[in-house]
Amino acid sequence: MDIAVLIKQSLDVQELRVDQDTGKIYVEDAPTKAGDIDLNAAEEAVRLKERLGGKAVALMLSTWGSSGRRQKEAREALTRVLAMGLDEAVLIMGEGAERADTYVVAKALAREIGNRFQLVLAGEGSEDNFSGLLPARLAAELGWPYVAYATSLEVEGDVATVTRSLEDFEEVVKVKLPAVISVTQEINKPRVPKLMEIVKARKKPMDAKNFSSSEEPKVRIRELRVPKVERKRVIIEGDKDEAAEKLIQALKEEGVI
Amino acid sequence: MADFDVIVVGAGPAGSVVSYLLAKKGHSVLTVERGKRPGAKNMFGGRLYSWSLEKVFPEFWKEAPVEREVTREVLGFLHGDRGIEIRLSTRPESRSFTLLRAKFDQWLAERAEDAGAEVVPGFKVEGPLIRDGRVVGVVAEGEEEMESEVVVAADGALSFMAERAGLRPKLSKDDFAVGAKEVIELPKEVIEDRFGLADGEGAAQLYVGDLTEGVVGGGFLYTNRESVSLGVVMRIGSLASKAGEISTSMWEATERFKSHPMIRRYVEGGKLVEYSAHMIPETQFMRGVRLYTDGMVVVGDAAGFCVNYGVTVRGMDFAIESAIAAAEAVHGALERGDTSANSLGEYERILSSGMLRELEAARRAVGLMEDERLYTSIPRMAVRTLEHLFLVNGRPKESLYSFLRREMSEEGISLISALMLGWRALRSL
Repeated sequence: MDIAVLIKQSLDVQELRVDQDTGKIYVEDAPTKAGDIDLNAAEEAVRLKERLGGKAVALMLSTWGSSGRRQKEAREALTRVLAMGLDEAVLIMGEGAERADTYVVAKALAREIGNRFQLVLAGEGSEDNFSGLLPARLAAELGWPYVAYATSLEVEGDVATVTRSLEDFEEVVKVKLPAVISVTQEINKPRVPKLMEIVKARKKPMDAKNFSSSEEPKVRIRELRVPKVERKRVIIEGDKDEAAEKLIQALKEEGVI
Repeated sequence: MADFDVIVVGAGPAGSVVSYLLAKKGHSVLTVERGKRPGAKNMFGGRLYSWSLEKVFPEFWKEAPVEREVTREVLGFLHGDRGIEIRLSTRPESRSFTLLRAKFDQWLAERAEDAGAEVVPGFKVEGPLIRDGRVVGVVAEGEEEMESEVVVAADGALSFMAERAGLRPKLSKDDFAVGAKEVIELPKEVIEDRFGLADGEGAAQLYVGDLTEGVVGGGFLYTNRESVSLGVVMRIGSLASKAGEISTSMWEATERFKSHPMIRRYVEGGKLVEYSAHMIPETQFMRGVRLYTDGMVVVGDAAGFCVNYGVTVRGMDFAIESAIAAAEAVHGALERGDTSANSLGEYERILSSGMLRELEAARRAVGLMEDERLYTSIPRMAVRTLEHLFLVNGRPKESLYSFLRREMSEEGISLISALMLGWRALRSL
């Protein structure tokens, strides 16, 4: 069974620089990496592959521009999942990709996937935008069933048994392959590649493809901004019983309690 | 069969240069860097003297991400809210540049990669892999053993590699200074206007005085293209000896420096974009650090090749020079098929004909710089003397000679010891 794993080149949100006064986010300055939940998807693919054989391929469509730096980061992100044990990687990049929304990306990935794979694994959402839309859109494009939020996954023949984590209960579903499945971080603990595995991963095949698409995106991001949090800066003084009383009163007035 | 000919620990300037040179000679090189990216973990005031890197990459500044070429040297004395600045406008035959390490180290690491070295960032090396008393590789995080013919320890000031291989004693507080640095963003034109610089020109400014409350150290300012690096360095031994007497913390000293009227005007209205603090090795090379053993050599800050002469702070140029020498020695040893200490000792022989002599001279200067009066009495007297000289208040003025004598007796400095201090300074610099 051949598996495709979607790896998003995500902004490293811990290294985002923000202008507190204007709320501007310096997106170009922020480094990118493979999203954390994508590593869970990669880990699950490696485990399945080790048990069932076949190939596991990482697919990345890079939407944060195609500068030399972004290309290097994309390759590094893919090297990391290759070091975990994936066999090959496909990197799609280029002019126009930075405007692509999930609709356009799903179309492009569906063309890439075609009928080469029996299973597509993805994280439940990307680390930066976290819309969670892509796996569903991709399934729709492929005409495959979609199962979201997997916390465990078993494959027997052409049937996958998936445990889904829902708000108050778990649901176990059986789905016939091919299918698209998104995973949560609870599904496994991604392995940390060894140094030698990283070195060897650099020699694994990485197919760089040029992004091309005739579709117009349905969503355009006009601006990225940090929400402004205005604090009221109320200070309550006095002895502690009295102050506590006033605090409770103030919180009630604000409708907090 | 070893996994690699050479494993280099650390992708700072020394590590990347040694990796580049050895990979270019056709050796298989693995360079492991602990930071997420090369340049992510360091403390650097801001200036590179170009003489050593030029040997590897002639006219590197045309291509490398340097910020500005230093054409202005400033030495300052601060006392209270007053101060003196001595400015030298210069265009020395050997250039120096201000730079930001996050960009520059990445550029150097990319040169090593282009030459064929495997550079792996974000990975920690625990220490040397030692078998039968010789270094045969490294132990990476997760107990992974990687073998190589030679290991180059370029892991910086706190070098665990050198320590665990028994090449240097446990360090004491006297071997280190601690530095804190802020990078303050300002528009290019504002920097050029405030510092009086033309496009591409830069300033390097060092200050001593009461900002460190008598602790050996001082403040610095370096202009980058669109930011200013500002910080304070204090000798740890000196800081500790005053614990309890003074209120100074690194943070307070930095704030005090930044808010001095003379300094404030340079950075006013700027935006703080980065804050860092780090240990800086000072003189430990002189205290029994060995540079090589069977299967390993130590380069750069890890070997203590860092000197603070007061007016001149150097580390990166020495680090690069040591990397060049190490690459030559390691290449020779690999060619001979003999990577014993004896064979790798070529490294020290190359260095001792040049750089080590310079370091030896620097040691004398550093010794002088430990005189606390340089950080207390001298700046204060300098400021007060000039104030006296320029004072006009409509009353007869005390002669400069009698003023100076009175000042010195207040400071508890005799004319003889002031002259001695000056003489020793002149001799050692």
